[in-house]
Amino acid sequence: MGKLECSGDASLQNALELVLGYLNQIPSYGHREVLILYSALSTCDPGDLMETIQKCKKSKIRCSVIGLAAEMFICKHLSQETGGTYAVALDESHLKELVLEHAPPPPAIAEYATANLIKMGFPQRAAESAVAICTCHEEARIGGGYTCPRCKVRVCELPTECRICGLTLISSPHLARSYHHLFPIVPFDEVSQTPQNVSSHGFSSDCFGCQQSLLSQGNKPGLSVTCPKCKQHFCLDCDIYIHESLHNCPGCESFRHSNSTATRMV
Amino acid sequence: MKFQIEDVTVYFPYDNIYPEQYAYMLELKRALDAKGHCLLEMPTGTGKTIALLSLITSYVLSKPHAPLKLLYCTRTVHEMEKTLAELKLLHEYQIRHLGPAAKILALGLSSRKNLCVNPRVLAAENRDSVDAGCRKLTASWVRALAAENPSVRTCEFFEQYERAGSAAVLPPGVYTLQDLRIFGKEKGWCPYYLARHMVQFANVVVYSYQYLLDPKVAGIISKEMQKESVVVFDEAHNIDNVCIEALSVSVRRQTIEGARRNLHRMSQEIDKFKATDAGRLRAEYNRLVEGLALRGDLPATDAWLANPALPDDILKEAVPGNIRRAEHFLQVLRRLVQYLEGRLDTENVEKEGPVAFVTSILNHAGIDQKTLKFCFDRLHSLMMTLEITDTDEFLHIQTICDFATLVGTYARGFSIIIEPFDERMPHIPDPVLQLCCHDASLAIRPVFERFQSVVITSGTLSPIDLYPRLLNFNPVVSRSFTMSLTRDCICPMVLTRGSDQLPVSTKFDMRSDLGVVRNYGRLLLEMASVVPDGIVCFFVSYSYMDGIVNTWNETGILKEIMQHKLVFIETQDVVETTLALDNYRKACDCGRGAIFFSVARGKVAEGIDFDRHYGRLVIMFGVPFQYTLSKILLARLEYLRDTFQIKEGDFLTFDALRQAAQCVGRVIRSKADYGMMIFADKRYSRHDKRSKLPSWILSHLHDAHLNLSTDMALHTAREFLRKMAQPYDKTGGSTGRKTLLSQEDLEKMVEGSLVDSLF
Repeated sequence: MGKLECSGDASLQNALELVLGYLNQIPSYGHREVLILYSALSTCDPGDLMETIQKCKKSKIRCSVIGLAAEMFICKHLSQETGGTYAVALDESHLKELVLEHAPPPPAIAEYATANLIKMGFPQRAAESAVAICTCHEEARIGGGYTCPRCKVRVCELPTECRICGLTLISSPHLARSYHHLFPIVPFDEVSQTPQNVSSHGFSSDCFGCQQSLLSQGNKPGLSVTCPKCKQHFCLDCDIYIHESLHNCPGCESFRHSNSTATRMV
Repeated sequence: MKFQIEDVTVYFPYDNIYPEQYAYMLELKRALDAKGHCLLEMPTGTGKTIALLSLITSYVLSKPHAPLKLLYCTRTVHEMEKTLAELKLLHEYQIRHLGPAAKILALGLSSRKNLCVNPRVLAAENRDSVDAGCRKLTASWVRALAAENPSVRTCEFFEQYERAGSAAVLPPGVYTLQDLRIFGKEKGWCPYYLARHMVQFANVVVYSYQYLLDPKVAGIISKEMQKESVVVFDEAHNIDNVCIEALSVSVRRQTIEGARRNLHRMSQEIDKFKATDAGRLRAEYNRLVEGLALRGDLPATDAWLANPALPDDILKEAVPGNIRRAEHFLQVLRRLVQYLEGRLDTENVEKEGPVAFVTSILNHAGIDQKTLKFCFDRLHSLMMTLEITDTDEFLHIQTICDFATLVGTYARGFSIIIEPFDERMPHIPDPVLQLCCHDASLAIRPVFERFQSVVITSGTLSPIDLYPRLLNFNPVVSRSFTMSLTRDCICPMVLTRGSDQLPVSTKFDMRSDLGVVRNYGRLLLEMASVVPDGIVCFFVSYSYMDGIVNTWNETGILKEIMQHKLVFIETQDVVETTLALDNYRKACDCGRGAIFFSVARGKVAEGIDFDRHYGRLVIMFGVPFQYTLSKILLARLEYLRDTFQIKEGDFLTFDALRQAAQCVGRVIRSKADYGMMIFADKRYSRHDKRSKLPSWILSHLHDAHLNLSTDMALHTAREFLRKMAQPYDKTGGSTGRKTLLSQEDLEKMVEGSLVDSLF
């Protein structure tokens, strides 16, 4: 980016057309997302920008814009149409904050994420001393790297696509780590602390996560939260742990599990 | 939501209400209770219309024993439709809550041009020819002729409406003009006459100012309205001008020539009638001897325009003998036209009072005051007798007779001004004789006297104490409300100097100074580079705009501006302006950015909204004073000083500032919107000018923004735009400034009577 220079009028349409060309090749299960840093206050376009925006919407490209000067209607319109976000930076630190907000991938949109089967390879890490020519650098390397399970070729890093057989190569932690970004756990609701609530709902006074008592000293109900899906109660510590590290709701998981066993039994 | 205001249960169709709307309703309710007139100022974009409608309809519902009628006057057809749409929403809500008991009949009334469904009539291009087209098909004699001779064309819609007789009624509901046309087409009834008929029975009537204020029209449409009515004038900041225009007539060369042609044709018609049907002329003569009691029993279709004088001032006497015979009357008119033409042939500007003018007519043309007074009625009767239907052709003689009647009726508050040419173009002879009304209270007095409550409301009525003096009435309530905002979404600035620290102004001795022109140009250029989307500029007059844009073009500033944004200009041609506006909006929509050059007091300044991205910044170049050398204005100022003790300077400043406020108010249309306003003239920084701005602008005008130069304004603009682009909480709950009240909030507020502490 350092080498690029800017001159002439800004054109949002040209930029979007370029993006469309690049991102159309991304398979349907992938995210198509573009972040536009826009400092101009107008856009000088060769054609109808609205059409291009509709095209972006159709090919499910999520367009987010960070403006540097003032709010522009067209940018707002673009981000609204395509489901992106639009923000204007106040100063340098705010700009950094805004850009970093885009670092974690956005949650998958349920209607876009149609389930389909994808062929994937989980390559093994090659033995430390083995010598092989890697396809990425086209030179002999000692140790490191992974071996494609289908064509046995050496690659240096994961995730990638095998240059020989075109297989998607990935390791299972990658999948696991990216999964929670796509399907984040909804924030838990705070439980209003009335004693009647406790008795009428008839729930256990224990945290579903750590099995500690939710009652604080003097048998008064302490702070607790509840998952809006499985209605289980959790203490605040578990809430933080679930959302920041675990990325799975124990309540929902066990519920799903017991549900499936129940159907099997029937 | 529904809530209590004192003893009235108010049905409000939205879930939340702004605190100022509540306060507005409260004041309005008190005025209705007191059966008095009121004057309320509330900024645009705070839901004035719905507050008015919902309070008044709820007030009527809560007092079923004394049914009030609501007459809602708007300025344009567009506003009429918007009001009716709001009313429809409200009505549905009330029916949902109260059942069919809440049913009302509400309809809009407009000219034939907007209501006619007959394709043959509608083909005509302007209003007058549509009216004449309608009359050609529906006048009583045409229909009588058609009854004998089927080849004579009539209007099938009107015929069916007539045949339906008393069965032709509108079922209760809210009808926009569009709805009326649809209903008319479905039933095959003429929507225009149906609407005019139903106006008597409707609970809510929405129509234009003219139907109440202009005696020519009001005499026909609004004569039968009950006294127990609430009259609302919305967007009424220019109401005094409407009143004055209603009673002013101007006569030009074309009018004289047209009148000659009309007279010629009428005398031909008279000769024809004499040969074929002399009895008719005789019958007319007899009727005139008995007195002029013909207005009441005329069929609706024959009524043309009513007497231009106010109802109280019309003589209830028989027409004087010397104009009873048609030929004699034509002779009188010929002499009058001759006299007026002679007066138009003048080298210098003349100004006269009506009394002197009437005396001079008597001396030179031998027509006395009483005869003049009856001109209008006599002409009307004659046209009826001659069975003239193409009324649009006869507008010229009509104007002459209006003039004669007014000049004969009023001795005070008017003056006659003859100008041989337009002051701005002294080389082109364009003589004009104007009968100018100076007293706005004349036309509106019958309204105040007749109706129980008159509500005058607008976004800009400041200074609020001047209107009662101009219109000569005593309001029981006059209040100005400010807008409660979650964030400071308007940013008014007074710019007094350019970047080079030289003062800028459109004062007469400075306006053509190159330095000022350049500084204005730089201001616009720099602003165009920091403001996104749309910018609106208002100039003080067309000629000034032409001049300054020319200079900008020569010095290359315009070209530089065009690199940032496209430039569109308002012209005096309506079609051209509409096209320019369309393209301006398009340019704002697609992100190219655009600037619209417009003129204060022009069509755009009055009726077009530049909300959201269509207007992020409005620049008012100069103070839009009226053309102070105009003879009409001088005469009016003199009259105001002598009669109402309003100083010339005060009135001029008031008038200029309300125009400026109206211009800049175009950019804020709702609370979620934001916009900047730059008053670019050093005179705005003076207290006597600034203090006449409405309070909702003044409250956001910080002291630091009172004396800015271009570079400082630029800095402020950048900051403001960044701040406004940040997301914000619409309810304003966290900041402690409540701007949206739910039902519970309201109830709490009433209990603690927090209302007063809020304002």
